[in-house]
Amino acid sequence: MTALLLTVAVEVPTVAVFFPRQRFTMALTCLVTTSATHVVLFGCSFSGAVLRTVGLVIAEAFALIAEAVVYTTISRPHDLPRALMASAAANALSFAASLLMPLFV
Amino acid sequence: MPTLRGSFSVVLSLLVSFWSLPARADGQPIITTNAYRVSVQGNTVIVCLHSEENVGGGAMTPERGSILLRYNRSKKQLVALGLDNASSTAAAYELGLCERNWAGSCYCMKDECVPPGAYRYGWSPFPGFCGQIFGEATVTDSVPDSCIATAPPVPLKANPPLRWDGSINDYGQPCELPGGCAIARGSSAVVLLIQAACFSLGVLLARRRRRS
Repeated sequence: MTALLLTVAVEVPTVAVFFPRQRFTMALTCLVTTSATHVVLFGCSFSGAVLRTVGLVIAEAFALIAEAVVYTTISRPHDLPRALMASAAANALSFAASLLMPLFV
Repeated sequence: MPTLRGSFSVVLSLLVSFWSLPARADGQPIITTNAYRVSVQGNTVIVCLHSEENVGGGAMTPERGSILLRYNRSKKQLVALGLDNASSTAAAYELGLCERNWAGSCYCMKDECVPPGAYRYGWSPFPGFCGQIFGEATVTDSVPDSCIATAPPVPLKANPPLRWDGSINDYGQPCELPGGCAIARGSSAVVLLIQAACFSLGVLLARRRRRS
């Protein structure tokens, strides 16, 4: 639950910044999409040392692309470059936050 | 709109920072910190692998083909235990070794008719990213003649796994945070590179659209 809250807290405002004219819609979209990708990724279980390492990369790439696709679909007009930037920035920041969190708890 | 050069420098500085960071990714679904919980009841030892941070809810079980090892340090005796885990896990819940609200995050084995001595128990290969490498138990009672183990342990000639020194996890990386773990730095760097590449692609596409 902590992980989901952290992810949402970082990603929702980030995505909203990238879509200033549709701030509320995109923030809501991000909330729903991020929660969905989070549940999907946490539902996956990876076994084996190599699979776990590769799994991290695949899981993060999946989340980034899936979220970018949703943002492109919802944004008016459809804006793939902006969606890609928003998704990449949001995921990078939440990933960085998860790496930094142990230093503060 | 962020510039390409600006985004690259931000990502580059992030990469440099994280490369030297003792990282633990609480936010990632595949990171688990394991802890051994051990209970001694006469000559029976129950060993549980408890996943502290398996927030995904799935059980963190030892990998297929892994075995529970028991090592007597003073006698340098290593044995493999291959017992039914279902009844052992049920017994662990009864003993309070595993909390019921963590159902599925505890995986136990019961070692019966254990002679007196100080032992280390550990699954090999070590399950999960990091955490406690082994559990310890001391048996003081002598084994009664009537004691018959459900599945007698199998003596092994091999040395205990090197990682039982407590400093190296399954990936050959030190667990740098107390009770925490170090995720493969290479993979977190790759993740950040992919994110940077996607961000840069977005910037390039936006520029191209603006020009056309």
